[in-house]
Amino acid sequence: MSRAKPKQNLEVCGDCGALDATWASVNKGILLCTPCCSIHRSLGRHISQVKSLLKGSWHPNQLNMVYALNNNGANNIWEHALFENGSKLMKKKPTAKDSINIKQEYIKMKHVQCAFAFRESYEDGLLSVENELGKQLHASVRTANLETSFRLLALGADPNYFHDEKGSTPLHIAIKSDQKLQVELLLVHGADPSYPDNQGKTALDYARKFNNRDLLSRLIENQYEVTDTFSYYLSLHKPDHNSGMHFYIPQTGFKSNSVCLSKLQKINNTLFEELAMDVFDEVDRRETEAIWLSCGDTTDFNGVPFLPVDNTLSTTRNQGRQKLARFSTPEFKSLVYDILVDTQRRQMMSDNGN
Amino acid sequence: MGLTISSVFNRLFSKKPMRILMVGLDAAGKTTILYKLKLGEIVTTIPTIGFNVETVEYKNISFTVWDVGGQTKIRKLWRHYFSNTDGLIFVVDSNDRDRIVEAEQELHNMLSEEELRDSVLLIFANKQDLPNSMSTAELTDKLKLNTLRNRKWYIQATCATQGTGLYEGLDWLSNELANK
Repeated sequence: MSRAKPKQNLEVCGDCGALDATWASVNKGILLCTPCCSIHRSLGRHISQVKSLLKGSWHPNQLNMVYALNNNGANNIWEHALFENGSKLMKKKPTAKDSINIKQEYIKMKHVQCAFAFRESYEDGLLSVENELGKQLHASVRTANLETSFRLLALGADPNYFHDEKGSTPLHIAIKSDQKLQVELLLVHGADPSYPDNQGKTALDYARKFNNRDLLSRLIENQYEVTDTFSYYLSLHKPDHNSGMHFYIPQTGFKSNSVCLSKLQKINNTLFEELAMDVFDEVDRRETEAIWLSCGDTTDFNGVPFLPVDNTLSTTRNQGRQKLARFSTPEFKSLVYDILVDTQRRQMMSDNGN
Repeated sequence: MGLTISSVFNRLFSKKPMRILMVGLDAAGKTTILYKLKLGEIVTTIPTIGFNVETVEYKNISFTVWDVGGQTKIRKLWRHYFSNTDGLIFVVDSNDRDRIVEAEQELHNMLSEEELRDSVLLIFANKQDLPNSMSTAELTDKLKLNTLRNRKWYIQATCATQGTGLYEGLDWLSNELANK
């Protein structure tokens, strides 16, 4: 992990053009100024995953990916309709001086509804479109052309698309071609390193076979992202995956809440996974909020006091997600600890079962 | 045969849930009202983080009532709950004379939002049991309800802890929403 080093060029906010972009949206591939970032945060992580360029912890590959996307015009994908000939939309784009309300309206249209995004019109059925996009993605991750892959993903290409003729997924290809930034891009968009190809081998297997340590460790970190984040949140420590240890449970300072733990043990795996995802989002919210408050220029803008509504989830789940904000820090850490303990138990049970 | 009859009735009285958004300053009694309607009893509440949502069946209409926390720092997030709102319930603490201006401002700010253009407005003048509470007439004046244009509104005196006035308010809502 390394702190981000500001680069000289193109440090411009993708949404309003302000020249002091100090945040980035990892999945949108653009940089953001503080006011626009406050709006991105209020939309939730399912829309935009923001990270501080000054104070966030970044893997160098991920940071390079964000800069590569930003510098190669990823923003044009989201603002495509603004630049079409004779479009009157251009004046919709706010400037740095516009009020937060104007920016908010624009950002919602741009990033939630994707109203200005590049769209291709297809005359074939939806299925063949998906196949076509998947095949193009498959071809594009072989090259260093990050922006092309990003455009395909933005159009709806499946990051886990299984190419029938080639018998593999884009992640297999990116690993075999040693395309570090393509791997990052695929991971951010939900590529799963545990998918097998037609020989039953996963992307992980290939990274191991080629002895590509950098990529191997990124894939493993991605697989254990949730539990690693929990360990780090509790103790500023992550497990050393190289030594084969995949869980780190702090030995001192935390105690299981036996009532809570026994309830956790009773819920089924699906529900447990949902809970772990919600708690992960809440950890991310709390950590980003702490960074947010520690930045001098954020005082005029809203923080995010609880997880924003994700319309793809049920109402009850959204209600529960928001209530996580009610836990005090010690209570929340105790919950995180118990989830970590029970994840390890579940993992061991499934290992023994195989 | 039984099935046939129920399907006919379903067609006659479709139970499309009405989305109701309930807002107001903190400690106005929103969560208490929600659970009084849902459970018929008084629950002990703490300041709401995020929202509570419950479905309340009344007069063959199903109301999905969203109760959104009212603390100062989270009021700006109300707008995230606005879309598709059929009816708005604004709850005021009739006894809180110090903050009635604040309530008036929040109400009018919210009503200027485009997404709430078509929703009807029900005001619950809550805590009427307290001795120093303002009457609905006084509140109509203080909340400047008479300045509202193109908006159907109704103010109802309530006491959530006793349950008085709540169903009268829902009666008005159900009539208005049925006519929409």
